[in-house]
Amino acid sequence: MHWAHSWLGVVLGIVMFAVFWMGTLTIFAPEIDQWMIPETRIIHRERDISYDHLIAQLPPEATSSDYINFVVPTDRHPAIGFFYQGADGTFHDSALDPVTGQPLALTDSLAGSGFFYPFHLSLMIEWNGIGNWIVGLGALAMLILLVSGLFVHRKIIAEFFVFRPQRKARRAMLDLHNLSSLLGLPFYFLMPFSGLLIFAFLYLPWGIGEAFGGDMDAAYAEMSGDYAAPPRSGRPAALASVDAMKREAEALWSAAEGAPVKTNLVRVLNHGDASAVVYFRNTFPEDRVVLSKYVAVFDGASGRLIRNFSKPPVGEAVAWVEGAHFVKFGHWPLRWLYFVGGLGGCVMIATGMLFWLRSRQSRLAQTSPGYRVVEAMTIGGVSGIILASGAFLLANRLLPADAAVAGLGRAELEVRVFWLVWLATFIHAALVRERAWGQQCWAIAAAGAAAVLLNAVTTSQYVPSATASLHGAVTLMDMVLLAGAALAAWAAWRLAPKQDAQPAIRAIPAE
Amino acid sequence: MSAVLFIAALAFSLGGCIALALSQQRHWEAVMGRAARAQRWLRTAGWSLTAASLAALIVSDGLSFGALVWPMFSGAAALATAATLTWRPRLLRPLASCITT
Repeated sequence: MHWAHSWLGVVLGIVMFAVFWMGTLTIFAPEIDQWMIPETRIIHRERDISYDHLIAQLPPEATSSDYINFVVPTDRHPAIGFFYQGADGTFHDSALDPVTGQPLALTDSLAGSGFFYPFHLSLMIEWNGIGNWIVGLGALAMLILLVSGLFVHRKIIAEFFVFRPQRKARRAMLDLHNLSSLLGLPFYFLMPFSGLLIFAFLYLPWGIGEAFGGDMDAAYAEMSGDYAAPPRSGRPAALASVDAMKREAEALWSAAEGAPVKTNLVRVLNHGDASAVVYFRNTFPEDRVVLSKYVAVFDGASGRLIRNFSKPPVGEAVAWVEGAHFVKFGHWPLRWLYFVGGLGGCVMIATGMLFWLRSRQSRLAQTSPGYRVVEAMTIGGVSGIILASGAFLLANRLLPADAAVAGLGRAELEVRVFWLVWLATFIHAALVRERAWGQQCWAIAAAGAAAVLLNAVTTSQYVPSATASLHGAVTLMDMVLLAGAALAAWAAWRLAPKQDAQPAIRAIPAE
Repeated sequence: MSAVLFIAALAFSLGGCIALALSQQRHWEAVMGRAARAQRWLRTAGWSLTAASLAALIVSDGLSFGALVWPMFSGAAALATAATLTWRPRLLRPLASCITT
C-alpha cells in the first residue's frame, strides 16, 4: 500500500496537479472569460429577449445551418451565447449584444471556458482523445491515493489539527500534506468520482450500451433527453414562433416543478427546412444542484410539442453528482468554498510530491538522474503550470488584436505562449534545481501584479472603477490575481536560501 | 433567517472542531499548560456540534446544497482550528477555562 501510494503519486502527481489547478480556475471560468474578452463585460439585466427577432437577423451563412444554438444570458454570462454550424461544417462561436442582438466584436481568445476548462478535462491533448483517458487515469489514481493515504499516514486521525511549521522541513511538509488531505477529504473524493461519472459514457460505455443494443446515441438520448434531428427533407418551410414555444416549454416545466423554471438553451436544428426542430433545456439551473432536469422539443414548422422529457429519479441522482462537479449554480459561498477546496487539493498534491523528494534528498540528490527528473517535473508541474497560466493572461492583454505568427491566429498564439512558458519552467527547474522554486514564485508574483496593471491600462477597468460600475467579474479577477501575487511573493521570500552564518563571524573585528 | 442559520452552521462547525481538538491531550496541554487533563466529554460535544451544523445547513439551504456545504464548512473550521493551535494556541484559553469551571 505504501509502495502504491508513493509511486502513483510520483508518476501521476503532475497530471493530478494540472487537473486540480485547471479545475480550480474553471470554477471562475465565466469571470475569466469576461476579464480576457472585455467586450463581454456587460451589466446583466433581466430582459425579454425575442429569439424570433434574433433568428430573423441571423448572418446569411447561418440561415441554412443544421445547428443553431443560443445560450440565454445570465449575470455570469451577460452576453447571448451564439453558436452555429456553417454550411461547410465548421462551428462558429460568438456572442450577441443582449440589448441590440447584434454580434459583438470579440477579442480573439479561448479564455477560461475555451482553454482552462478543456485543459481540465483533457489536458488539451486531442490526439485520439487520449487526453481524456490520461485525466481519467489521474482521477482513478486520486481515488486510490486517498484511500491508501489513510493507511499510509496511519497517525493522520490521531494527529488531526497538527501542524508543526517550526520543525524540520520534511516533517512540516508531511504535516501539511496530512492536514490538507484530511480537511478536504470529502471534496477530494467527490471531485474525481463525479468527474469519472460525467465521462462514464466515454470510460465505460459497454454496460450502458448493452440495454440499447450497443447504440450509444440512443442510450445517451434516453438518459439526457438529447434529440437527434431527422435529416433535412429538402422542402423549405418557415419556422413557427420560437418565443411562443419557449413560453410553452417554461410553462410546462414550471407546472411540473411547482416553481418557475427557465430555459438556458434555445437550439434550432435544420433551420429553414420542413424538418426543423426547436429544442429547449434548463441546462444549469441557478437554484439547485441537479443539472438539466427538463427538455422540451418542438416541431419547428408547426410549433407543436413533440417531446417532453424530465429526468427519472435515478437520472436525477446522477445529475446531482454531475451538478456538484460543474458548480454552475448560483450559490456564491459554496463556489468560494470550492475554490478554497481546489487550492487545498493543489497543496495536498504538491506537498505529497515534495515529501517524496525530501525523503530521498540526502541519499539521491547528488547522484541519481531519476531524482533530478522527478525534481524538475515537480517544480515545473507545480509552480511552472501556475506561471504558465499567468503568462496566458499576460499574452491575452499584450497581443495586438490582429496578431498572427506563422499562420497562427491570436487565440492560438495565447495558447502557444502557455505551452512555451510551461516548457521553459521545466528546463529552468532542471538547470537551477532547488532554487527554481523561489525564482518561479517571484515570476508568478510579478505576472499576477502585471496582469492587474495591464488590465487597467488596456481596458481602463480596475478594482475601484470596476466595482463602482458593478463589473463584479473584473473586481473578482483583479482581487484574486493580487492575492495570488502576494501569496507567491510570500512563498518566494520564505523559499529564499537563508544567509549563511559564516561571513558574519568573519566580519567581527579582530581586536 | 436562512442567512442567520447559514452563519450559525459555520459557527457550529468551528465550535465542533475546537471541542474535538481540545478533547485531545496534546492540544489541551498546548492551550492550558502541562498539568491539565483533557476533558473527554468534549469529544461528544464536538461531534454533536458538527451534526448541528449539518442540521442548520439542511434547514437553511436544503439537503441538496447542505450536503455540499457541510463538508466544506467542516474543513474550513478545521483549518481555522489547526492554524490557531499552531500559531496562537493561547487564544483558546478563555474558552477552555470556561469549560473546566
